[in-house]
Amino acid sequence: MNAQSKTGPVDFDLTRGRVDTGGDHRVVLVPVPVLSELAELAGLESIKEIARSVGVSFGRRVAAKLGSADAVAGASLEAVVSALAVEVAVSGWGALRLERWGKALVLVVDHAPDLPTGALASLLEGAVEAAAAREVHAVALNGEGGNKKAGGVARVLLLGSKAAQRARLWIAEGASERDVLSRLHEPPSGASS
Amino acid sequence: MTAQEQVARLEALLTRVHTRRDAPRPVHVETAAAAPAPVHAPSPTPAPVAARPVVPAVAFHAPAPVVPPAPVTPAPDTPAPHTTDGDVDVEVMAETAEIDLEGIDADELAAASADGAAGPAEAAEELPASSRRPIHIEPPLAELTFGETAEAKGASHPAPPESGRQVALPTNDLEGELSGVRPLVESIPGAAPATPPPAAPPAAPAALKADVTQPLAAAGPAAVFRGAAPEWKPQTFGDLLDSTLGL
Repeated sequence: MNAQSKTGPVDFDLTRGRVDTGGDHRVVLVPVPVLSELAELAGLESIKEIARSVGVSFGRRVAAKLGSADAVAGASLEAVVSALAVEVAVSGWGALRLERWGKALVLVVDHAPDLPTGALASLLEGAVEAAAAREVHAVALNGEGGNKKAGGVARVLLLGSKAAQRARLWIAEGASERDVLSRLHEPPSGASS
Repeated sequence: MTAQEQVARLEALLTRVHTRRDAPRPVHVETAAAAPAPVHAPSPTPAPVAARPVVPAVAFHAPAPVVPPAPVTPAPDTPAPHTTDGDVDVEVMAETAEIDLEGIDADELAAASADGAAGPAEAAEELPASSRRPIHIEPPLAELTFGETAEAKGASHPAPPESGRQVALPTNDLEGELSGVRPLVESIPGAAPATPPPAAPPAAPAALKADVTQPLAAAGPAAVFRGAAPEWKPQTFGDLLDSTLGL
């Protein structure tokens, strides 16, 4: 890469046949159906790991853009969401935005690709962990991977380990998104006021 | 009735007799060559009328009962001439009498009119043999010709009214309630009786209406709010991340 040339989030070098993101990170473009076939061949957990790895790369570039993991934690919501949204959009994973439901943080991806359930949640989980240097657990609220019934919108709730387990249990029981968020804000049973 | 009135009526009667006598009749009249024209007496006052003897020989076809048969003694070998099976040629000789009205006194005319009014039977008895006799043609021609009876003729009368229930005409009850809905009633006399209106369905019970009592408007505010509920809003991405991980 020519050091004199200006670089963007994605650099397409047609003379050398390279696509680089964020400097020296070379990427290849993979069609979405290939990822779906890979999920069928290697299993759902394999595709989640692949997606998580992609998300970690996004987080590292965000941290690099903002300076460090501490800078990310100290930055405003808009700054972090904007940096992360650029990474997600450039790679073709959709349009990212952030919603706050009380104390809960929900990342919403519009126009998400149709991938197996849990792939997009794993991608965002890896991205936030890499950017803020914190352990987080992502829970898909309405399905993910471009839920067609939801208009291609994926909603991912970021929680701790125990809260994520409870939320997954409630969703498996058929609780709605609002019920899950409400129950998360309820005080634990037996706690004195 | 005065004498003058009686005279006037007699003159009118005489005029009518002349008129009927001179009226054309569907008969074959055989008159003599020297028969003069009939003389009328149109003047209401009695005038001398020189009635000339006119003896018309009238021959017409009429049934046997029309003219009473002459008292003829039938021969033992000939049938009776008064049979009604066929037409019989009868010669009727009309006779006229010369009447001198000037010679008749008014009292005599009154007496004669009184006698004429007494009855046709008496008049027939008192009339002389040479006086004119009315031709009695009372049976209708159809009956004589076709043998129809009076009952058949009476069949043309309108049929009597049909028996049955008579419907009273509607009356306008002006004293009743005028705002009510009244059924249409045929008021034309003689028309077919209107069918009775169908039985009205039972009236629906009156709809229940709730008697609502509204509370009185509060004089002042029911509650007073001071300040605002504390709203947590993260300042940094780290604060929000900590809060969501702390759920």
